[in-house]
Amino acid sequence: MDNRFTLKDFVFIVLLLLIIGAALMAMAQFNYVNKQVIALSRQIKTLNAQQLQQTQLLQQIAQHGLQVQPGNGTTQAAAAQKNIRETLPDGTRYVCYPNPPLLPHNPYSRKQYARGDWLVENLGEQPRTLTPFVARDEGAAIVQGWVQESLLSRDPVTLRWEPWLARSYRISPNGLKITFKIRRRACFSNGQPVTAQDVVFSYNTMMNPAVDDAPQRVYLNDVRSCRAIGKRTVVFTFKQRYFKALEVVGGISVLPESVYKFKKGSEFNKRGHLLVGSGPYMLDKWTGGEIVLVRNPRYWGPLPTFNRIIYRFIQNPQAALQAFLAGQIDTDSPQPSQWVKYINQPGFTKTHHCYKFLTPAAGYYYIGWNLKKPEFKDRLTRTALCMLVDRNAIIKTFLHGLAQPMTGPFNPLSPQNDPHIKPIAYDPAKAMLLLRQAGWVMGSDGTLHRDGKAFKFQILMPSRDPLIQNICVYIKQQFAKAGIDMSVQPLEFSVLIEKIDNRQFSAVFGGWTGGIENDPYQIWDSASYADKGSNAGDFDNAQADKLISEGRREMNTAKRMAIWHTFQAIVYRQQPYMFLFTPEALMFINQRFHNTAPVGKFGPLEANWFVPLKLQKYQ
Amino acid sequence: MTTYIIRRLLLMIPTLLGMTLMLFIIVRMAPGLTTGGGQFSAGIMQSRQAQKQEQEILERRLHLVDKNGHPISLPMQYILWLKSTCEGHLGTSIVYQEPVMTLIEQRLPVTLTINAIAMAVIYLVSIPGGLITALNQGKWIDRSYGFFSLALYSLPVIWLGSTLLGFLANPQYFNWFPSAGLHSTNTGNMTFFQYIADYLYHIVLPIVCSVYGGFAFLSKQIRGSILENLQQDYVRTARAKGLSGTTVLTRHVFRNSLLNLITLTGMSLPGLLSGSVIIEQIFSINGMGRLAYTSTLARDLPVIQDLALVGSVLTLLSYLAVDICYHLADPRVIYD
Repeated sequence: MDNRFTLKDFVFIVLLLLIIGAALMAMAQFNYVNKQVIALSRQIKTLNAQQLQQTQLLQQIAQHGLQVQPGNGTTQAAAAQKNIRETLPDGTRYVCYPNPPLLPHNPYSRKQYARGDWLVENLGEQPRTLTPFVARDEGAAIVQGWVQESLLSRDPVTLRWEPWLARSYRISPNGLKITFKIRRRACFSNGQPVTAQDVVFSYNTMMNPAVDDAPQRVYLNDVRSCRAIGKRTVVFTFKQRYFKALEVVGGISVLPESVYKFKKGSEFNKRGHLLVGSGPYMLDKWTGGEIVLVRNPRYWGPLPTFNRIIYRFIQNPQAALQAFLAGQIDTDSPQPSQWVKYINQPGFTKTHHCYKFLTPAAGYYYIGWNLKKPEFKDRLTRTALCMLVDRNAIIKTFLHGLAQPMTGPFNPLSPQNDPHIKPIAYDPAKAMLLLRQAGWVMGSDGTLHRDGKAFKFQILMPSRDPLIQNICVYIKQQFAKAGIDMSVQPLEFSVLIEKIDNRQFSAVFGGWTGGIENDPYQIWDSASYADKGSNAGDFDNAQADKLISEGRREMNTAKRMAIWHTFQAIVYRQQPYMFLFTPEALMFINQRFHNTAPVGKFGPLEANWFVPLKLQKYQ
Repeated sequence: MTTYIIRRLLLMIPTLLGMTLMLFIIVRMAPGLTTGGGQFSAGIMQSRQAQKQEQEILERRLHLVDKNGHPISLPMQYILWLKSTCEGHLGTSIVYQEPVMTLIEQRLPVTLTINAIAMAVIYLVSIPGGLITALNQGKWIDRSYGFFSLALYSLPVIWLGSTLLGFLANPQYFNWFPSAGLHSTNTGNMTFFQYIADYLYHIVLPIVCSVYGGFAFLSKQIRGSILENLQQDYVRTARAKGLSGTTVLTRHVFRNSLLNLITLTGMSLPGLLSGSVIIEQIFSINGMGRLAYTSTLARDLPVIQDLALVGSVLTLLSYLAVDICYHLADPRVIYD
């Protein structure tokens, strides 16, 4: 074999060296360009800070009741303007907030208050898309909440709907017409004013059948029309009264038509990275590892505190907690076991803010019975099953006490919930009495029997949740003591849903998300059983149906809550579900943030937080 | 050789058809297909009307029904998918609403970087390891290397990853590495080299998890191959000619022993593009593994099918490349 170093080898080596050299030079060039870019961005930040100072000055002037005339610099006093919330003689409800409402416990008057720093949080899963109306996940909603706004916002303490982008709204006496007047100074981040036409565009986008937002569109089914009158007035008319009408139309995110206009709905669906609105922040970038929001320098409302808000995607709870402890992220939502471990560590609560709280939006866990199955057809049996399970023990053992038992389908914090209804107590002796009354008899095999059939059934549960698995095993043991044979079948989530849709189950372990005031029609009305509806267990109660129908059309809040309470009493008595618990939300916050205490019923509000100048970490 | 290559390329077509057909049938027959991984329904308060509309849209996108809502038969579904694939339309993800190729482009560099570095590390450690253990067959160095490499091979990734995370990325123990992601928060202020250094710093633990199990297999293969070649007549002849042990080893034995590596390298090429779900989940890395995993759970059929198609093509091409490299490395190898 000829191993001499030939010309071919020489050329090869030279080429290789040239390639390596070129790569190194390119890297050095990138480095140089990067340095220039960093220098430029520092200059931009300085300019932004100057602009911020000017805007702060203008706001301070406005807060003293003075207005600056554009162009000539003179000022004139503006009349003191109070919020109006009244019912007019003809029955029209009129609400007017001349200035956008400030959050309760806002930080602006605090001595140490300073703008600046970044807020770095963990979203967990990366959102699949940020397209308004199309995005479904919680992470997308959190990000969109900083960038886009709606006509109304909800006060976290009173839970009332207050004008936000709208300056005022009027509800006609019959509840079939709502008129909004948009604030003059409301504008999008590109400087364009928010107009009535933008609201109409947003509504039409939601109603476009080609736009992938069916879950939200159905809530607008009762809207007859949405039209703009002039530049700042929008009128919604409805086909029939619906108690959520104000919430539904007032909660539509207002999109700038000039940015989002489209020819085909599929075009709109695919703009996953486009997020523009009138909110206090703008989407700067979305990479595989984070979403970065920057302060909107043109924001029309109270100037936001943080320079940036960054959301990272750390799915592993252990990694997320460690990232929090290492200071890589500023907040963490620990698991119950993590909460208990760190709360009990000496000094941890002194060096970190720790909060646990319930929110109305928190969902609940339940076991749903298939009421078409003979073993679950009677109320006595279902009530007895509930009495056989010590839910307080479940909460204490598996959730470390960090949950509250549920009595019905409404969150304990929601006004829909009747606080006088108490959870069914754990009472195995009484449960056995009820089972006997229901016709169950203990057989020689140690299992209860009725009509010649053993009390034996299978519960379906999602396979990836160890908490649910532990709870099911515990419940199985409790039932076994009473002579009930329950087997546990873990299933992949999509298969579980298919089984539920096809009604191929006896019992299922499930959970629902919540809200401040939910429409019970979807889950509890008898019409929701057919066609794979959400009333999978076939809860069919004429009185409940009537109450649901009445409640949906009742516009008076006090009367409506009374209807929901009566409805809850029926569900409580009938026990179509074994209502288990609603978990408490847990939060660790980096200590450099101030004013982090929960506000009203919403928990800690990031919009209220700030970092004193001396403690600021990022520029 | 040219004839052989053309024949192999032509044979790829029926092989691909068979592989895609089999995968298509398995995926389409899996339960939970039209619930979209449950993303449309349970757990979320929404009306049945909304669920129904979304299910109808899903069924049309998956070519389960035609424009009029009539069901399309399974063979026709396959033909429709094949047709659009041949036309270059790799489909749009149902979950992400983005073209599958865009999703792959976003995630592939991450997975490729980690796997390429991991592969390089494995080879850099395993080749000398195999050589040294072969030359010291039966001695303590051979036994201890074999013991430790097999012990490492036996460790489950999920355990080791969590342990590394819990100790080396935990401020309460050794806070040596970051716990998640590929970059720090303030990369905007970093120069290019700082950015690269930050990236490398973040991928240390994922790479450790990727490499530790690979030493045993490769080093044992090389060890066996070297030992086999050491027994060959040409080695005795080379020694008889007066060549030094080092020369015999480096010029003859080692080069011939590396032929096995060609096969192993070729077979591991498709693996470069598929990430590890467990490692990506533990370290919160958005790579190909997570894409495949979340798509499977969500029944995102376009992504599942297209990832499988890409993987199949690469596997077949890598096998062909291995055969070609074999011929180049050893001209005695001739294909009919």
